[in-house]
Amino acid sequence: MAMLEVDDIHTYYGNIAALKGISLTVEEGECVTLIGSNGAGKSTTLRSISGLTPPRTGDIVFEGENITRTPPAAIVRLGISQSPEGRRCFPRMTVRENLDMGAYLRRDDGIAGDVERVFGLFPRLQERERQKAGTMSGGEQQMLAIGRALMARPKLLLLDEPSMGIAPILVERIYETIAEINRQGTTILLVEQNANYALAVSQRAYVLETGTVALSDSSAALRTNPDVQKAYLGG
Amino acid sequence: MASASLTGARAAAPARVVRAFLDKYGLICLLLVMPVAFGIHDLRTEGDLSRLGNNLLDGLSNGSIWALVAIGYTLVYGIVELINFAHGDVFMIGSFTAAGFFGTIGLTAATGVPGLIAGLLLTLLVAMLASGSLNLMIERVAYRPLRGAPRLAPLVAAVGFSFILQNVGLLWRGGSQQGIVDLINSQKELVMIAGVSVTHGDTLAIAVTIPLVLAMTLFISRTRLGKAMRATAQDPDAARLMGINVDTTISATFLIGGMLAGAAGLTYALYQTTVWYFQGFTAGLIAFTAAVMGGIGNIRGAVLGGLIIGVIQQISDNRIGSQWTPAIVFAFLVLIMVFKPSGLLGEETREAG
Ligand SMILES: Nc1ncnc2c1ncn2[C@@H]1O[C@H](COP(=O)(O)OP(=O)(O)OP(=O)(O)O)[C@@H](O)[C@H]1O
Ligand SMILES: [Mg+2]
Repeated sequence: MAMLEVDDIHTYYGNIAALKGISLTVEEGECVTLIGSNGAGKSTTLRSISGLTPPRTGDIVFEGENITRTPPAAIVRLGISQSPEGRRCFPRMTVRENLDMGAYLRRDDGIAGDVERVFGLFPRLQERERQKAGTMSGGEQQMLAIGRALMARPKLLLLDEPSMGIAPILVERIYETIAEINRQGTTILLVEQNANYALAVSQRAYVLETGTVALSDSSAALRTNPDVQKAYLGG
Repeated sequence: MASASLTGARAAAPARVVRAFLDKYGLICLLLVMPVAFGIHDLRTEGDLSRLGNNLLDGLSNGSIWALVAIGYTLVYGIVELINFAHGDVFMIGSFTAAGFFGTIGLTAATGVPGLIAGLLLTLLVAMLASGSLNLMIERVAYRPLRGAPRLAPLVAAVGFSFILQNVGLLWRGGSQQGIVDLINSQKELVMIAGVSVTHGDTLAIAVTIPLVLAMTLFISRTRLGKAMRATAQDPDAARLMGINVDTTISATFLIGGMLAGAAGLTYALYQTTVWYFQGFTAGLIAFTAAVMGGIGNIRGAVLGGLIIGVIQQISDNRIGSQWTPAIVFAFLVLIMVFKPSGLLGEETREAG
């Protein structure tokens, strides 16, 4: 059984259907990506998994447990954390305080060690440990958002557009780090508009279009798919 | 062309210096106008500053009551972006509870000092619990169901609750100002320091406010719940993603704000030795002004705003005439907002933390 099984979920904002029957699976250890154009429902899928916008119908099962209507805090406790679209760092908290918030539900004594691990992945954050997140650059905030999500020690890490608004050279670095996080054993579900990087780092991918899954395949196959190339790879 | 722009730049330089000076020190200068003017006046006519000193002390003790109430406005605004119009009335209920509880436990003006202190501490606790749980209840029944509704809906609910509480006060103690027993001999001088008379009332206000404000600041910066409050104020959705229970955190914020209002209610009752159902409206307005002046959402700002307004009121009452006081307070508010639209300690972006 897959680690995460999303089965035919329909999610609404008021009366507007954002997801019209999304199904997908993520196996333990995988890095899976969702690509799709603006408004396709990528973020809503991640928000549904995290419990911020629970689906009206359909099921989300994580490690055998149905989490469709589970509150966000309990979902974090089960091992799913998210770096949301737009980063959403706490602007008037320092880098260190933001990381500590990521470990909000933890009571073990491994927190300091995990801060070191995040600093190892993103040395820039260590230099800025005492800086207020709101005063940092977009790229630095992105690193912080990912680091903060890692502080929950997730089994499954949800990343929403980690390349948004970031200089190309930094995107490359962030993607190297994402690959490294996956290699270290964290399962990743990644959302991207920038399909080049996403398909390079992931093993499998789903293409979303207006709230449904239009296509799913291995990332390698999708990269050579002419339709995908035309629509998402600028080729 | 070139020379024209050069002279233009030269002419602009002094203006820029003045501007930079005003940006940096304008607010401080503004706030110092009255104390300095009256200080000079006192030195000329009386040869010392004791009258001004007394004004300042009285203003600070009054202002500390406003500060406690203002924190409640600012905490709640910071976390749910709602002006809790019922907050002033929660303060009034705190006063009424305290005034009633004195009688219940049999405190009188004749009670000895140890008994009085113990009784007051107990009353403080009761008033804080009463106002705190009242505020918590208001959030549950009036605001929480409206979360996600258009902005105006909870605002109207807040105004409605304010009226409800005023009517509760009206039923409880009638429509006129009621004197209550002067337990602490409020106006009596405790010590005289450099011509400034420190009364029992001043001492009480300071003894209640300083520890509470310190405890609350520590609570917010150090404890788990305090951090959850800051995180929720800064970004509720991100807070949820951290595993923070936002509903619980909001409840805690209303509880704490209400408790401080209850403490202020007790202090007010003992300091003024009168209570009435409408006191919450006036106090609420002043405290809300204080919160805005300090930068709504900012706790230190609320305290600062409360103290400043207390001092302005006292100086104005004593020197200019109490009929002018509200106009002067609001004139200062307007001037401060002109200099710094986000309030004294407010940040340019969003509030709180
Ligand atoms: N808070 C909201 N209220 C109403 N509709 C919303 C809200 N958030 C998203 N939607 C709608 O839901 C649909 C899916 O949005 P979603 O944010 O999931 O898309 P996305 O694939 O993440 O797009 P992008 O690449 O632009 O981030 C869109 O049509 C959007 O307009
Ligand atoms: Mg999105």
